[in-house]
Amino acid sequence: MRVLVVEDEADLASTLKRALDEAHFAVDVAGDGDEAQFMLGEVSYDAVVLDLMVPKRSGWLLLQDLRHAGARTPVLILTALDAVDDRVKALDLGADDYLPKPFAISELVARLRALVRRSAGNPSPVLVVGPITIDRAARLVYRENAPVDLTAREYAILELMVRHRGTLVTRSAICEHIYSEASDVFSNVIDVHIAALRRKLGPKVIQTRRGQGYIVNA
Amino acid sequence: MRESLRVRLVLWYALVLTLVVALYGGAVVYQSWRSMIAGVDAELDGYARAVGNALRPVGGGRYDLELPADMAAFNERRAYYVISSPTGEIVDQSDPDLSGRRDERSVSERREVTLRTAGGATVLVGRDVADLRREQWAFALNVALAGIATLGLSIFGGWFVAGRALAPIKRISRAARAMSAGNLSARIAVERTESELEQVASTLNEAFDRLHLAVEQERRFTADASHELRTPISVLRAETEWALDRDRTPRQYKDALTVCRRAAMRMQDAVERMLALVRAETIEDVREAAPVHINAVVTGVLEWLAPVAQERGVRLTASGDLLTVTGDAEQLREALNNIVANAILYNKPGGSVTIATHLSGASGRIEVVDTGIGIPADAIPHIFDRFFRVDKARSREVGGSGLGLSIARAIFVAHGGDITCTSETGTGSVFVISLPVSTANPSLCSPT
Repeated sequence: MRVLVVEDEADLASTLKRALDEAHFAVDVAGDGDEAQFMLGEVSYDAVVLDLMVPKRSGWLLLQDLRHAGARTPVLILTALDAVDDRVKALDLGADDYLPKPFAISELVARLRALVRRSAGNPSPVLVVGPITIDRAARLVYRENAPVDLTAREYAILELMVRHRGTLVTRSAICEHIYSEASDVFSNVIDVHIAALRRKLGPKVIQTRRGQGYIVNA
Repeated sequence: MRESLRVRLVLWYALVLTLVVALYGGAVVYQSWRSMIAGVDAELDGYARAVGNALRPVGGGRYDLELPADMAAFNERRAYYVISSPTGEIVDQSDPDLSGRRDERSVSERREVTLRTAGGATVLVGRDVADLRREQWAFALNVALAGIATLGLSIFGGWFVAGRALAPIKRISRAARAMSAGNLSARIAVERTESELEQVASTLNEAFDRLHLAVEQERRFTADASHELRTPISVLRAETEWALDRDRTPRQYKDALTVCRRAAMRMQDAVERMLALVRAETIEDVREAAPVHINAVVTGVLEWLAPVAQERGVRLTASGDLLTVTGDAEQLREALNNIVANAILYNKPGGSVTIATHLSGASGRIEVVDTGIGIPADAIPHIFDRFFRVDKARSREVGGSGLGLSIARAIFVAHGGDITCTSETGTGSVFVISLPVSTANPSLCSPT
């Protein structure tokens, strides 16, 4: 799951990146509003963590522009502004959640996961596809009730495919959602991960559309 | 008992009006009575002369009276006459029972005129005025009734007019009530208000504006202050939670502690500045009242800031008149330091900061001119507000909390002076500090 963190406080941004990396998010950081605006135009993020008081272009404006452009990306507001008026204004502008600073990292991570689940149309943490069960809270995968040992990347790809099941997912889309900006990957790495998933989950779960990408049938 | 202004107004109005109506009515009745009596007297005079002319002395104290036929008044007994001889003896009268009847009546119910004729006889002519008096009473009653009706109508009108005149006060008090109930944007609609109350309304509106502004500033101060503290607390909390989440390498712990120390220092900075501001604002008077040589303060500040200026390639110069003010040297040094430090930090490489002192009469002026980045026009009214920063990102780079200028102004104001700012984006800013100088001649003071 790829997340954009918009935070101008460098220390906090770095802590957030480290913590979210460890929670298996692919994290990009934008230090000001202009940078965030640019990155939102380049990448389709699964979620945005947005500080309202960032320099150059305020979080309010970013949120407004994002929703005006019709983007459905879930946005979590993370800010020192905790007045009820500010919360109401942010939610009414199209924010999906609001967490005032200071906050617990575990809560931020749990809220982000919930946001991403809800935005895919299924708030339940458990997904079932044929013989495969995915527990998104515990990040565990079962094949006919037997636990399957997946690497973080493999899990992320499977979770993404199942979240978008019934629709074609291209290699570049997988790259975009699994790796942050900082990572340097070749798309054949994806093929290697898919091959490993097929070995562990059985050949039928993930189908290949030659030359286009992969699909998990609904 | 709660007496409303309207009731009091109308009561006073009614009292005055009652007096006016009573005086006027009384005067009318009195005047009408007087003219009626004057008419009666003229009539009686005529009768007396007629009786006197008709009187012929026939000798031996006897008189012969031959009244003209038209003296019907006597025949109808509306009037009477009594003729007495010079010795006082009644010679003749219009009615034989007259003396008896006269005694029966009180004097106030008769009107009489006496006339001494050439023959020495006295003619008394009189008439009964009881009927006139009754008429007059009826007239007085009518006047009184009309007066009461007028009074009632006027009081009713007065009540109505007073209500209309006081309606704006109701509007004003409604707005004031809304204001005190927390609706800070409540204002009185001035264009609908009558002129005397319009002044009250605009004065109140101005007061409301000031109050609103003060509350807004307070609100922003609280929000900014909490932001100023919350950000480093967030860093502390997130960083420690991350570090404690699992076992880390010594390198990672070290980095985490470095981040925490930075956050703690930012909090310390914010708290100290806040305390300094509260100090500067709560001490209305200066801490110490001693002669302070501004030029020595300027030199001290420039020496203190020289390394910073050198690092940024900014040239510092000072010149001007000798100024001595009464106050606290340490506070003034802090205030001036904040201004000059800002001028250096927001300057361009190769720029300059010039400090000039001017003495004109009893007031001194310190001008701090920089060739820096300038301040946008819409930000100038706010630069002395607590925690205000023109560009948050740049301020963080140079490390200010947005309190320096606000503390500086509080100190200058406490010294009886003020500070103003003019600026042009890209060209630089000019801060002008005015301070009242002490009367002591600076040249006579011992050098410090």
